[in-house]
Formats: sequence, C-alpha cells, structure tokens
Amino acid sequence: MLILNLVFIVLVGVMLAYLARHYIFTAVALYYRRGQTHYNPRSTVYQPKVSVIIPARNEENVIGRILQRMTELTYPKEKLEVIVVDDGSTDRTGEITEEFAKKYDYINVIHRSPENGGKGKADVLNEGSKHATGEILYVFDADYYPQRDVLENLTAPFVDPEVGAVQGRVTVLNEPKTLVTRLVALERIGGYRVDQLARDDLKLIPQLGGTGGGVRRSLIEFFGGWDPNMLAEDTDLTFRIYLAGYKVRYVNEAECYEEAVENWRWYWRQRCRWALGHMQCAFKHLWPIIKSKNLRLREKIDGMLLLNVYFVPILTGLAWFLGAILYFMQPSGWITLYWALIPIFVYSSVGNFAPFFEVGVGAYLDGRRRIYRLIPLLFVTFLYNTLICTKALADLCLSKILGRKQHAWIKTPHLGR
Amino acid sequence: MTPSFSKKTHTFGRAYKERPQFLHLTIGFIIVVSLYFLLYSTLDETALVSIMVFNLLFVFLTFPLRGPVWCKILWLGMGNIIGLMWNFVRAFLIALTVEAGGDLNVVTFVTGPAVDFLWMVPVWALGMSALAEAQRQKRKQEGK
Repeated sequence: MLILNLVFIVLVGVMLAYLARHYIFTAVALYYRRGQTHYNPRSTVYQPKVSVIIPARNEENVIGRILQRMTELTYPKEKLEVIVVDDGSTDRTGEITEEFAKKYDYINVIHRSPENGGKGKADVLNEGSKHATGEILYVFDADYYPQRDVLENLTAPFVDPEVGAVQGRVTVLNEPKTLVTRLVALERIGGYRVDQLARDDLKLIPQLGGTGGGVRRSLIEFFGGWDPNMLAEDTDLTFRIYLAGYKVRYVNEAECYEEAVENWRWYWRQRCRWALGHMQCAFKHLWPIIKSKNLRLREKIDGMLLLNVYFVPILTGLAWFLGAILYFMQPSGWITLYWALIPIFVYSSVGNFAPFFEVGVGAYLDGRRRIYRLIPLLFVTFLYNTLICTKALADLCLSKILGRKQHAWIKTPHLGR
Repeated sequence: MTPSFSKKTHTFGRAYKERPQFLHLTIGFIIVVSLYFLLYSTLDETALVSIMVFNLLFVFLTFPLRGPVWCKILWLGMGNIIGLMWNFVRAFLIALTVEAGGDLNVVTFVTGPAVDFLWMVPVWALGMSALAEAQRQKRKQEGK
C-alpha cells in the first residue's frame, strides 16, 4: 500500500510539473514582452542562397499546389533552389514536377526508383541535401502551402550565428472539412501560438516541426545528415542542434498551412508514428541532455519535459487507475482532494497536444470567435492519444526486445482538398 | 501544361501580446472571494472545491484579457449557477443511492469531481467565445 501511495504521489508530481509548465507558457504567450530579439526581414539585410527540399511520394493531389506556390514566393529567385525528391512515386507526382522543372530553372527534381524509395522521410531529406547548394536547407512537405514571404521571415533569424535552425508556424488548411481536422486545428493553435512562442520567448527549446522550418546546411553536414533510424527526425534534429551548442528559433509570422488528417484512422496512424519517434528521441537524448555542458539548466528542464511529453498521457491514465484503487481501498482527505483536481490535471497533461486553456488563449490571441465551442471535445483526443501513446510504447519496447532498429514509415495520404 | 492552383489563406501576423487588465482581475478576485465565503457554509467540501477550481481558473485566465467586464462577470456567474446545479444533481443521486441501499463509494466515485470537466471546460470555452465576440462587436462599432 505504501508503494502504491508513493507511485501515486510521484505521478501527481509529474502532472503538476506539466501543469505548471502549461500555465507559465500560457502567461508568457499572453503577456511577456521581453522575449528574444525579433529579426524583422524588412530591417535585416540577410538573404543567403537557400534550398527548399520537398519530399514527395505519391503526392499527385498536392505537389502541383506547393510547386505553384514556390514560384510565387517573394524571396529572390536567383537565391532560391527548390529540390523535389520524388521518392519512387507510382502516380503522376514525377510528371507534374517535371512540368514545373521544365518551366522554372530553380526547380529541380530527383527521381528515385520505387525499389529505392519508401525508406522514410529522413532518408529522402538526406538524398535532397546531397544536391542542395544553399546555405540554409528548408523542408516543406508536399501538402504544405506557405505564405509568399515565408522564406524572408524564416531566414532573418539566421543572421545570428548561434541560430542553427528556425521553425515557422503551422496552421491547418482544411480546417472546416471534418471534426478531426477542426480538432487538429485546435491542437496546432495551442502547440504553435502558445507553446512554441513561449519557448522562444523564454529562450528554452522551440521544436523543429519537420516542415515549415530550416536548418544550416553546414550543421547537417556536420551531423552526417538526418538520422534515418528516427521516426521523428525533426525532434531528433532539434536536440542534436542544442547538444552541438546551437539554438532553434520560432518565428510566429512565418506561416505555413498543412493539410490535416481527415479521419480518426489516419489520425491514429500519424500520431502513432509521432509518439514512437518522440519516445525514440527520449531514449536517445535524455541522458546526453542531462550531462551536456552546452545547455543551460532551464533548457535542460524544458528539454526533459519536451522529450517525455508522449509518456504523459500514459502516466495520466495510470494515475486515474491508481487513484481509483486508492480511493476504494483507503478513502482519505488528500485522495478526495486529488479527485477534485483530476480534470484539470488531465487537460493540463496532454503535452504538446495542448491543454484546453492553452488552446483557448491561443485562439483568443488569433482573434478566433467560434472555435472555442469545440474545446470540450479535446478530451476525446486526449483519451485517443492515451491509447496511441500506450501502443507506441508497447511497439518500442517490443522492438527493443527484438533488437529491431528500423521502424516502418507509414505515410499520411494527402487529398489536396 | 503547368497546373494552376490557388488557395485563400488568412494570415495571423506577428505574435500579438496582451496588456493585463489588473482592474478586471481585482474585481474578479473580489467576486470569487465573496462567493467562497457565501458558499462555504452551504456546500460540501467536494462541491466547494470544484466550484472554486472553476472560479480561480476563470478569474486568472479570463479576467485579465481585454473585453467588457460585464461579459466576464456574466459568464463567471453562469459557471457558478451551472456548477451549483450539477452539485445538486450529484447530491440528489447520492441521496437516492443511500435510500436504495446502494454502495455510496461507487456513486460518489462515478459522479465525483472527476466528471466536473463536463461543465467546467464548456462554460469556460463559451465564455471565451462570448468575450471574443464582444471584442469583435466593439471593434466593429469603433470602425477598426
């Protein structure tokens, strides 16, 4: 019984730490004005040659849209290089890309055969980076739709030599489509408008999102490329950058629109991949972060909380279960009090899927009016994510036991609607 | 032929920051403290804790934001009414269970504070929606 109580207290402590983190982030996103230097692209004359890498595997529904957008970017075309890596597509992706490449000399295509393709995003990015000549490598997924001035906004912070990578804001393009896309939009608002911005303001660890962001080519070369064994190559790169003594900046006004998954089945598959990848990163980077001399204490704490964020839904579920057992076995004052607070803990412990007040405040700061009404439904995604994270952890443990290094990359389909 | 695509998108722009409305926060805090003393002797511990959790959340997250104070007070009051109603329903269910000779622990657990989020979060979210709408109306009237 004593052990159960101790475990319960530890779990409550973990949730309280995440609760405090979310409240601090929300307050910072709302009121904190003394953040980091903001590099305005109109006052920063720094425009190096940049390469945009677009991984594409069977993306005929969306590839034309992003390539059209690339031609509309306001960044000087003589300093722009677009590299589409056609990763063994069996649809019209290669054909559409070739049409653009013929018309615009800064758009290049690399075709991989179907036998060589499908090994994951990191592998595709490594292929693209081999052909890149720009100082900064940007990664845009094929379903993305950036603002015209996105590259100016993203490039400006690179004027600081300590900045290794920059991440822009990701918002949902197909928000009105289904309930799932609306809920993903809510998560995105909380995750970027509040979480990422607060991390940047507080000089913590803003996270690279895998798309809509850029990294110095010299750093990628130094690292030997993206790690093809990692499913969350973006999170992995974030921590490798910090461990190497550089930092990541977040630029809220560099906006990119993504096509969110439209049904629960694809939500499950995408989040399973994210959760598994994040957990891989936690096992890989947790100890190096603790002993690193390149990170300050606040970065270490934030890094640890960030790395473990996908374990939190599992821990919350466990706390509920344990709380119930203790409640029936030994009803006491503090257990009752905990039950009173548990809804707040649950909502506050959803990690980077953002708790309700973060989402609400983010929507308010964006000037939204109606989206708040869906906030109560975040509880559904929380429960769903608890199952997702539990499955991801089980998969990871199984692969560790079996000594399997490579995980299957399940690509999210993009409909271009 | 090069395919043609176009999408209408909305830009959110540079990260906007609020200036906290300390006067509103003070008003809200006074209301909550008054409510505490008003409800302290009439409610049981569980009901009081859940209503106070809602009140503190609402006051600290909503009152410092821009927007009419009447709207914030209205939704704070609305939350308290709904919270009280739910707690009466809960008390009724517990009494019914005792009357029927059921397990008190089970009914307390099922209807316990863990399900309070069913009214807390929606009321807070609707309050935020109303506040945002009031802000929009104000801007519209000012012609901004």
